[in-house]
Amino acid sequence: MFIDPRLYAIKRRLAVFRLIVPIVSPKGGVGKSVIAAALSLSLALKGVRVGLLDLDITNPCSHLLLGIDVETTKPIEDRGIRPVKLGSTELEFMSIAFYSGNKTLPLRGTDIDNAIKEVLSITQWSASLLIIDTPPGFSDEVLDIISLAPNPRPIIVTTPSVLSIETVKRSLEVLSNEGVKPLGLIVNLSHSVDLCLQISQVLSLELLACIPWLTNLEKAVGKPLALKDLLEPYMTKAIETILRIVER
Amino acid sequence: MHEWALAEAITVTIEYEARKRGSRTIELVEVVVGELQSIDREVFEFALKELIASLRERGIDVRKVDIEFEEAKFKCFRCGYQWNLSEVGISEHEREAIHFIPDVAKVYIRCPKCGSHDFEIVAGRGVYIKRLEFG
Repeated sequence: MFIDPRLYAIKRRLAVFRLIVPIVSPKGGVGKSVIAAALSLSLALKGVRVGLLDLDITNPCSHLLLGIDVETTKPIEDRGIRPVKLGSTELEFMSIAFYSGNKTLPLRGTDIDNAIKEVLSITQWSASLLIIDTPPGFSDEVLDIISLAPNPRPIIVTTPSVLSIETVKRSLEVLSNEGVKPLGLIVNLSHSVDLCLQISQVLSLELLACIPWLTNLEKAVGKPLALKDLLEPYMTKAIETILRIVER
Repeated sequence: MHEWALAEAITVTIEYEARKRGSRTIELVEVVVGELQSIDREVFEFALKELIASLRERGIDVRKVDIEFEEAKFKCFRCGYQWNLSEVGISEHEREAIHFIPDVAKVYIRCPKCGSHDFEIVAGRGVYIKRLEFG
């Protein structure tokens, strides 16, 4: 017999959330981490109790965007671990980087699955909304969230690239077969709102944000408020959509 | 305390399994704790005892709990070498990180023979329930 107690603990830990939003994209480099961090910050500064989980197990980077030094800042141990609070905001943050440091964690599939289950089973959130930054693709990170989280509502991120759009189409089919209903679509690195609307029609997803190429983005890395200010004007609909659900 | 989180996960599991089977008595629970969890045995046993007592208040009686501590064993995917934790030195800081997420061992531990980070944790990784006997 082998019973994994983490699976039961995860159910209880995730039951506190009113909404769980994985930020998902089959292709890398489309801006998932930046969008996850900026969206979390915007909502936290509007008074929503937000948890941001960096689920990129082998190469986490959300802490870099938020300017958190994982060598000196650590979650508090209290019947599990309490995520790190970002300044005076309502944002709670958790990442495996607190334990792996600023190093690559070379893991195979089973190990990634184990690490995800470990993080989910020991983290004691007090937030009502969980935003999850996932790595590119459709592997353990996304599959674990789909199977372990109650009613996850992913936001799909794409660029106007044909490769990105085509891979999103395939992923949507899998999500649909798994009974997962996306919250909507964010098109990043797009020069035109019309193009964003066309893409959302092709994918049959509600357009939650259309974000252009932001030349100042690199300067905002590590400066949470600057990052939020830079992206927030483009994410009004995404913010309103989430607010409507969590404040219902 | 992380030990409390692990103990809580076990008692949540016992309660769920007992209710699923409609059973109010569990004669025996065998728990395995991997070396990589580096838990404080005394704290873990105390936490488990306390939480099992609170299960009793909710109508579930656990008669006996056996805790087995399992030594960590590793096998290199590159060269096939097998070793245990005592063969490699890890600092207190590294042990602490591994204690929370055992899989981060792959950052701090390398194969003593070929130096690779690509190895399998064959045993002693985490906590699991090996046996549940219902009354």
